Amino acid sequence: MTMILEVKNLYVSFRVGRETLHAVRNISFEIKEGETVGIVGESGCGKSAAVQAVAKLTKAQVSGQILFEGKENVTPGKKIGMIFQDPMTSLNPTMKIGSQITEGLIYHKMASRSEAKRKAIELLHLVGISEPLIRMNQYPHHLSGGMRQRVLIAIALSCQPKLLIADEPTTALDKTNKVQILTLIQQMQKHFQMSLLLISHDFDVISAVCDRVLVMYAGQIVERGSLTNVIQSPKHPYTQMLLNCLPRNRSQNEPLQTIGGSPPNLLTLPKGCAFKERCPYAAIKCNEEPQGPIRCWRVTS
Amino acid sequence: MRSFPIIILLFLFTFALFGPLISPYSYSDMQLELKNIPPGMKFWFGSDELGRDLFTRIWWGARISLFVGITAATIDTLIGVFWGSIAGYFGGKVDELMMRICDILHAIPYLLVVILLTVIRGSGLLTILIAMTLTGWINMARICRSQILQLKQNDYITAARAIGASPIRIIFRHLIPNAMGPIIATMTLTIPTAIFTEAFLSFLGLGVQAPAASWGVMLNDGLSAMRYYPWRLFFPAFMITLTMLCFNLLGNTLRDSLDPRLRNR
Repeated sequence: MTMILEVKNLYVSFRVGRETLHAVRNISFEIKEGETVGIVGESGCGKSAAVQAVAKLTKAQVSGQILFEGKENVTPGKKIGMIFQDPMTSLNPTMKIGSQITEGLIYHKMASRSEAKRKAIELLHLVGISEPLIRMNQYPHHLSGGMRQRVLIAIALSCQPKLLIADEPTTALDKTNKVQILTLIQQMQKHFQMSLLLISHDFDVISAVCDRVLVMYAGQIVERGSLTNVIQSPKHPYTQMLLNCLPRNRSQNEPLQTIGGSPPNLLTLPKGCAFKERCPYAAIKCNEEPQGPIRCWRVTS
Repeated sequence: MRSFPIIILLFLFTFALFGPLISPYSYSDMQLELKNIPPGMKFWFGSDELGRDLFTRIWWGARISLFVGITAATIDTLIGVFWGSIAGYFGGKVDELMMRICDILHAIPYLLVVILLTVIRGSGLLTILIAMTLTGWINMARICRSQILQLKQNDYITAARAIGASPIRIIFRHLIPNAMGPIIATMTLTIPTAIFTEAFLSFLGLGVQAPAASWGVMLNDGLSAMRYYPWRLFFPAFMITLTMLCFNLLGNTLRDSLDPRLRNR
């Protein structure tokens, strides 16, 4: 299988006043053709910063290598499609649905106006929107949240990308829509034979879709592995605690589990393991930076 | 009630176009034996000290005022939107430089520019237009910039960048259409200011010159005769007030109804 995306030693840093904040600290991962990779972690762990760097959307400083099909320069949009978190704000309120879908195709000169229009209608039909012909001439405020998310998916698919990045695609939707949209993303992935990079803070979403999982904490990948491995035998204490937080993983009448505290301030990172302040197994050894694929001394030693 | 300013403005436009045609006099016809006649059947709005028909002159003045107002506002809008949206979108050093240029231009006393230009070019309509647009676009640029600064944070701008759209495309296809409400409202509110400025400059003698009629010139003429022939002051003053009021009301209405966030309520 060929590699679609290879990320090597990626750093993403923002300038905050005079200081530099490292939102992503030295992560490497790869996505194979047709594979679905999930990134999971709390808010502020650098998930979004990492994928925005991959899609070349970030204004932060990016260092490291991002290879797309072995090449460094990718026009965003053409080869990488992106689905955003909030369907209510991700569509331009002053443009008709139709012209928003055809925009990429026409802009990249991949189709003529009429061809693009035909394709857009086909896409709308494919993502399960009824009466695509009418919808083409409607504005975003005519549609419901779930429908808008479908339109966003259609936009992301319009140029037939090789890689689809979905940044928390279901977070802003309600539970029933959530399942439908996830299924739709999966269907589309099969239909267009794309790779999928899915970001979520919700292990449920990840486990419904992904082949492989990357767990991120404080800008680093702390654990990685196939979905079954990570879910059934999580190695890193953070992964274990995240899984414990799921409602279905508790015994009856037990209160919901939480992880105490909050992720560390990335400007004042403690020395050594970033998770040690919240970790039940923290030891003296944790004041040194853990090495290895699973960033925990308990696993490496 | 909301259509009131539009009706009045349409009325004004119609009369500016056709008013002079329905009166038997031309704006510069002098009938010295019929000077300072009060409003009546012969002269609908009265006549001035040279026996010129005020009704005809008012509508000639309306032509000049509306022309100056709309032209100046259009030029201001074009320059201001261009300048402001580029400054707002690129931000950082570009923004800093462009907005400081605005500040510097804004700091030059306006009347000084006009007088200087009058000295160089001689007074006239074009001089007024140049003087007004030289610094008039700054307000529009600032409003447009602040709008763009706000709008570019939106997710759909990120989405447009994710499609791969260039900055120029994002500015003109995505940002400016969304900022159109405030832009049109500001433009409509620039028109009365421009009309007033023209009247004011003509009043000072820096603008349109006799025998051409402008509301400002007529005001100046009428001022000296205010005590004895009040209609010579009243009609131009009333027209200026009415026009400015209507454009201001229209601007406010537009600002409220063009806001895309209010559209689906």
